[in-house]
Amino acid sequence: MAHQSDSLAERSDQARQNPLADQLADVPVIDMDVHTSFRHEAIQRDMLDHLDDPYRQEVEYYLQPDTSSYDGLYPTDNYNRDLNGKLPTELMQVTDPQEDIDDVLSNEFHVDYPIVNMLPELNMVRQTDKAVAFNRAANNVLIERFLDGQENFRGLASVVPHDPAASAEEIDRVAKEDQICGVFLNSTGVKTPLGDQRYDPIYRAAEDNDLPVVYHGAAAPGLALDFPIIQHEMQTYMANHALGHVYSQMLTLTSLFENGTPAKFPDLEFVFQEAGIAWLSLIFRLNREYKQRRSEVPLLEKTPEQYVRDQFYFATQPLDEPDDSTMMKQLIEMWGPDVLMFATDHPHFDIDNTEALLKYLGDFTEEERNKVLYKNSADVFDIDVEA
Amino acid sequence: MSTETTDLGLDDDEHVVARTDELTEGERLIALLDGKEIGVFNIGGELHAYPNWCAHQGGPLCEGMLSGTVEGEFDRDELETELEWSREGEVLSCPWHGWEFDATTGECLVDDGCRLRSIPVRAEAGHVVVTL
Ligand code: FES
Repeated sequence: MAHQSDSLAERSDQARQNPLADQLADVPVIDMDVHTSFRHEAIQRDMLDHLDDPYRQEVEYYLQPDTSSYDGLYPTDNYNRDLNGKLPTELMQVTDPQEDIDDVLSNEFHVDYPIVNMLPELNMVRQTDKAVAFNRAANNVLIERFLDGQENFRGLASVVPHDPAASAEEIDRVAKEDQICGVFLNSTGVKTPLGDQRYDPIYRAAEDNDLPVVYHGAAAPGLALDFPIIQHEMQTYMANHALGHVYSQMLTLTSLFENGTPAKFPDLEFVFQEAGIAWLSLIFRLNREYKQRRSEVPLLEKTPEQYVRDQFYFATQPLDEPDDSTMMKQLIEMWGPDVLMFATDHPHFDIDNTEALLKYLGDFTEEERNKVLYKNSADVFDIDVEA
Repeated sequence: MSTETTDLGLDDDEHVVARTDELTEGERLIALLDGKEIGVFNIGGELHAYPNWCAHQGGPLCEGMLSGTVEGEFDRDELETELEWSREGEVLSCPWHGWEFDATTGECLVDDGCRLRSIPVRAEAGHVVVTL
């Protein structure tokens, strides 16, 4: 059997035989959620160049042969994620921007502009100075390994919410890099929900630097902190994964509204990844609560829905799967092509094919389709695409 | 891969993809025919062929794991659930999202509305012949 990465590239010819794919040839598709294999040895070796002792020693120790049992470096969970090989959790290792991102995404998914994040998942590293140091190193590796020399690539710089002041500094630092187009936050593993005023330095720095904030939902070990019942009491990864992204994004979104964050920072844009779009009906409920309890949230000057339509964006991945697929069109219509952005989630097992999304966009105008495929992302992340 | 054997007198749409002794029980191959990838399987001595194009989102289905699946039965009197590993060697799992397909029928185990298109395949004079 061919190695996954080879076969992905080889299948491109067949992909183009799908008539839908023809439409994609002329559209500059932006993929706003592409991950690297952060824990891969090659990337950890790069990290060494950007770490001082004692954290450098820690990574060095971990990289020696025969220390593989050392799993204290990054938190993990205990699920059988890949069903004994039936469902690989990653389609491939992503360490090389050309081979593992550009070649695969352009051949297989018609993606022209990948927006890459390192997904370092440092929220569960409770030692604040270590999390800050690792995060800074991860951003440097993102820039040096994945963005330098890849003109069509953009990157999201991670911050760790443990230390909002350090995060604000990090935002000021990375914003000087042309290809850094947003700030990346994990929604899980935060002790205090992300709208809390303690994080305002992060939001102010992002707004000052014209960078949107991107929230990444996850079924990561961080769930143990926010949703211990999901992580410890649910029995299957099916349950963990179904609830993890959605709950963590719901908590984050609600927290932003209860603290008035979008009103405090009216020029800031908020982007939510990896929870699909069906969960967004939460916003209607927030509308209702807001109308009943406006005095609890006096900073809000309009309904949550109106803020959503003005300042919020949602990645379509993973596409929800109603049994009646026409309902997907209704969902997309309900939110409107103005707030949706295409993402693959390459290389994870949640991956969406561009053609799978396009299938649901057939009844929309070309302008509306293009908004989802690239225009919204191009506006929010300030990417100059040559259409 | 699609070296035609003239002595078989095949039509234009018929392709030899292997010798039968190269595709023994439990084996599979992926042939490139007219620019299309076709997965050919020998399951329990019977040949089956499908496009290497998953009915879900187009993943390389025929490269997925061929194993079995878990079936469960609930005994209402005993309030017990019994799990059983079944159809070993017959269930193909797509490497993209893990959807399970019965590789002997093309039937999808998770979505009634979806099934794989069977492609005619036969053994003839020691060769595996696929008709497109
Ligand atoms: S593409 Fe095969 S399971 Fe999704």
